[in-house]
Amino acid sequence: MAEPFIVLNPAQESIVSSEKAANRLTTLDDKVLAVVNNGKRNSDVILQTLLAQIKQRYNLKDVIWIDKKNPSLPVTDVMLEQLQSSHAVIAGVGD
Amino acid sequence: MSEQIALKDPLEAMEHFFMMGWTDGLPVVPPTPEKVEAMLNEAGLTGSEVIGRIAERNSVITAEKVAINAVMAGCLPAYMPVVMAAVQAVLDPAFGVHGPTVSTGGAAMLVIVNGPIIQQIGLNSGKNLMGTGHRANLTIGRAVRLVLQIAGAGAKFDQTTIGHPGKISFCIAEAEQEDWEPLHVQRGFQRTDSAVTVFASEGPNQIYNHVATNPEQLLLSFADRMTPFSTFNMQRNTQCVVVVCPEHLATIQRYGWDKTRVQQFLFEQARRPRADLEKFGFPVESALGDKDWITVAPSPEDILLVAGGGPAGSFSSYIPGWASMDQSVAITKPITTAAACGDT
Repeated sequence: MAEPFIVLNPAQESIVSSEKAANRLTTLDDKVLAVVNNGKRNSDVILQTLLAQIKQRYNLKDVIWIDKKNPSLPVTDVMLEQLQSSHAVIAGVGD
Repeated sequence: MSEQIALKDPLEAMEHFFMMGWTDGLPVVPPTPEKVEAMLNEAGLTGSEVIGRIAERNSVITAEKVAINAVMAGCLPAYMPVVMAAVQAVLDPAFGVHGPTVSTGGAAMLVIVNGPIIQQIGLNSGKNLMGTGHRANLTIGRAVRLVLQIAGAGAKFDQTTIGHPGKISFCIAEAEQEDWEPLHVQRGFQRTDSAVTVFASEGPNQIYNHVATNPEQLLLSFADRMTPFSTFNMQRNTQCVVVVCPEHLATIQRYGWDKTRVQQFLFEQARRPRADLEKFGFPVESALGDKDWITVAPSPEDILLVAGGGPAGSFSSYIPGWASMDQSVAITKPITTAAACGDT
């Protein structure tokens, strides 16, 4: 039997992470909602419209609004810290 | 150590890589452990060494993944130090690699090589500079893209609307000469150093002028080519690259103009009235302030000027940038060989 031809996997085989998805919320009533505006043109317009509709439907405890200055770079550590006190996050896009 | 995959033969391996999406759409060279090891030895690196990260994707790029993708691209081991330096450059946080590799704007990773390494590994700085026929240029450029696409998981995120062929491979060498300061020297290196500069780029625009007899005439035609409304450069603070062909360079140098003077002239002339942009409905980034004129780049130094191309013909090239300098800037890194490290 011929020897197998061995090659190496060029991709990342797996990313071992201790992170897991957050528990799903059944309602936004009495919850803190964070909104991350990624800075793309009109992203803020879309998110403000969405937020207004959510506020009509749910009695939010608080809203944390974060403006990213640069849509192409990750959120900063300071922003991540702000997000920790929220129950749900909406990350907005736009163009 | 990366997962080992047992297949029947090289042809089956090529088909397997197509099936797995481990390709840019062209056949790849199967990365055997022996070939990958030879790549790492040339760069003086161990496979587990971390070359960089892409935070947005939780991706870690190791030297082994770079070597595997370089083999797949068709690189010779001698090319590996250039590939490694280019990958280090695109993974520099200031380059912001996630943006230009996923953006609808469809940027290529332009790799510009300077220094003695050009001669040592046979990089092309002359005829057909951005075209076909030169293994070192094409495989180095391809390797950088494959690393980002496969090891960096970029293929999963890429939302490019149109893109351009440079996304397959885009690597040039500067045609260095004594009376023209090379790009890497302008950016802090010595002529005797080898270095690589990476730049997130749109597709190249050919500049055709067979008739200008002095630098002003010639460079005004450059400036005209550099100022269409529908580029990032005319709406944001964005860098760009200009490749000057030998015939054009001869016209410039006949009048004693040096690189700095060319950059200054282009900066002053490659501009359009702000009112024109607004008339056509083009938004101007607020970072540009309330200036009456919009320039192609925020400063003369942000027009990266490179000599290159074939000796015959009056065709230079303008390469617009991607997005803004808040999102990505050109990065230059030294090229280090195993011999320079003291390794064997």
